[in-house]
Amino acid sequence: MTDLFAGTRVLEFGGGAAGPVATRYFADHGATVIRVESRQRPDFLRILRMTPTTKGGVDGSEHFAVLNANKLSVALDLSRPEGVAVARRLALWADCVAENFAPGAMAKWRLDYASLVRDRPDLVMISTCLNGQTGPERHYPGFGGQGSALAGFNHLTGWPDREPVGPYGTITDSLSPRLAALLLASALLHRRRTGRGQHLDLAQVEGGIVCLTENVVTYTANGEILGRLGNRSRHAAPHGVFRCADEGGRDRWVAIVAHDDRDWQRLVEAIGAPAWARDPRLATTAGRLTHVAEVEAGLEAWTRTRTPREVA
Amino acid sequence: MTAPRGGNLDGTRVLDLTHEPGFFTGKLLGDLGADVVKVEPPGGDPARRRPPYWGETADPERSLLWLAMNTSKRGLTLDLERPRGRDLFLALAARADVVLETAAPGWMDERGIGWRALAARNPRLVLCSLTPFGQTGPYAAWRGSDLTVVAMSGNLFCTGDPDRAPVRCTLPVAHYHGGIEAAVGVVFALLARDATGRGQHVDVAMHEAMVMPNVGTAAMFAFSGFRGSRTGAAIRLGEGIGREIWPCQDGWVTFALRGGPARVPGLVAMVAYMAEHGMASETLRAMDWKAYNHNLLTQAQVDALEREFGAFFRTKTMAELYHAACERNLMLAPANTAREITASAQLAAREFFVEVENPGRGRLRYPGPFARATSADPAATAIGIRRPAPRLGEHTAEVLAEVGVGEGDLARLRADGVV
Repeated sequence: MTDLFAGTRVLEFGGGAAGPVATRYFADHGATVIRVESRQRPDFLRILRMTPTTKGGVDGSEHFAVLNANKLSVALDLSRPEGVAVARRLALWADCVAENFAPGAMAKWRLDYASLVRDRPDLVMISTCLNGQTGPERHYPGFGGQGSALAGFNHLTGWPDREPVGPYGTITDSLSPRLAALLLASALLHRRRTGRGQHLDLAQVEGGIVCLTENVVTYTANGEILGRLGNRSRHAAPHGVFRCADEGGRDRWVAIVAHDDRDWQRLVEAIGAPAWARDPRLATTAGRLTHVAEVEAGLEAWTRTRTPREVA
Repeated sequence: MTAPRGGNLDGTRVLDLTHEPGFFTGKLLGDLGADVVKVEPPGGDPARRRPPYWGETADPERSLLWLAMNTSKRGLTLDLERPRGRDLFLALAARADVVLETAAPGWMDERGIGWRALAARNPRLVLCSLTPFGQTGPYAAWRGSDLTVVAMSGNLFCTGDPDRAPVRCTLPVAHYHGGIEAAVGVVFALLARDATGRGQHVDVAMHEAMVMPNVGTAAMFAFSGFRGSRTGAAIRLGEGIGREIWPCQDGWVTFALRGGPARVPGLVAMVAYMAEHGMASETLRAMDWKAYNHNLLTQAQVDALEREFGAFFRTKTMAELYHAACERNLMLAPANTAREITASAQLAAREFFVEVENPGRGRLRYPGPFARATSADPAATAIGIRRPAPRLGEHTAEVLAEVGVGEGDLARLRADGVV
């Protein structure tokens, strides 16, 4: 934590993860971040796991708490003109505005960039939703689970002989806030240097596809569709996750990667140089890739009787 | 492609010493308008020798990993193992704003080009180091990779099927998370420098960057001791687990049986869609979705719902279901491959894909801007690919000329293998 953004005011509309995690970067560095929330429609992370017996009710969500530490909250009823008027005063008072509603919601309240910029010419604002503010599918509703699937992460995660699973934690929900923080910070830098503001449109699906540029150009260059490889790599072997001895009745695992032949030599020594591992066929990456199942079986026979601590 | 000029980081000079884990940081800074110079050893970065290659010809100018992640950069070769190479690097760093690097902690210091040496010559410089485990702590000296840091972060344990090992994404997500985190750190440090006049050393650990995506689980662990679990193509629903990824006619789609005010309209609309095709039972049509709380379902109730939704999805293609999702506000998405992604009507309407001319190799279609900026002066805020990934040493002469290396000097440097 630093006071880099002391005196900087950020007003935040929306909820979930993609918007709130982005503004937390600024809150953690001293900015005053104010969330505009609704009592009628609470942030879905406040109620995701809520049951009638949840302690603290809408304030009892640990998930919400983690993403929104260091922030202030103002509850406004934006279905009433008085509520919208307060939100507008806050937006014009702020240094930047972040929102992750569905496209069009902010315009309905005249809180969109085009409406606000007339009274605040140097406004810095970011809008982030799944598909972006324009285009025929802009109103498509969804959360990170859909964003991960649309951007291509799900198809690439899992086992080749099974269905895709998607990386844990709805990955576009964790990549997008980082991109949003980068965009906001760069816009603040630009404003500090030029006095000018801007509106940023971050489509979470597009951001995810840019991360996976290699996936797209492999197809546009060669027509090849990348698929799920489990934990294997086309460039290194072993490259996998191996079962260790259970601890306290729980499954435990260890990830092992040998990037090159020197790594492999060290690994062979570390496991006591058994005869199978000293096989010259396995001395090169090419050889280990050809006989990868054999390498994996040999390693797992060794890890299976050891705890992760003993292995590592 | 008409390359954007200007940009929020226009005028920012970046020297990019990174290997694969850090490529994305410089690409993002370049897409925001920074002048990013990739510094490679004279033999080329190892990524250039990694298949697949464009056209399947093994050629350091055709590695798709290299071409994908080094757009918007100029390129320079410099041997940092030689004193003359290090002197030239220090001269370049003296007039740079940012240096990016991914070497093992200590590697830069051992060669006299670490943080102290750089800051002594240029107090305004920002050095950003992206490593598996950071510059300090008991793991700092450990080697790491995407798979091992994702495993250490806790993310891997929760990804995959319950009856198999935890599983990763086939492309390296830790590089994306860590790479963006490093870019955020750089711009924050530039803001701080503009205020104080002093640069700083930004220390980004991919291990730490990978903890954030599972922050909900980390919080739950503190409250409940629940360490997360692999549920495959499913998530926890009430007392049981429910499918989130469903087979359809030609692939897979995601759809959640979760409730809450944001999701119930989608469930209602999906049942109406199924009913139009005569595939919603009387029980399903009679459901009171307003009273529906997925946290209170029994496994038997989840199973009954799954049978009906699953049978319907199997009769439709990914494209049919996604089209219906857009028309009817269904929270359903196809598990897209590169084929569906490049065929998207939405991305076409937003002119997302760009053709990048790679001299001597042809045009290659890329994902374009990671975001759009609207402002009074669009050229001054444009985001997107500025130039193709550099060929090996493509800009060596032009970049070294900026620190006074003339043609004669350059010929000697080449003969000596310094560049």
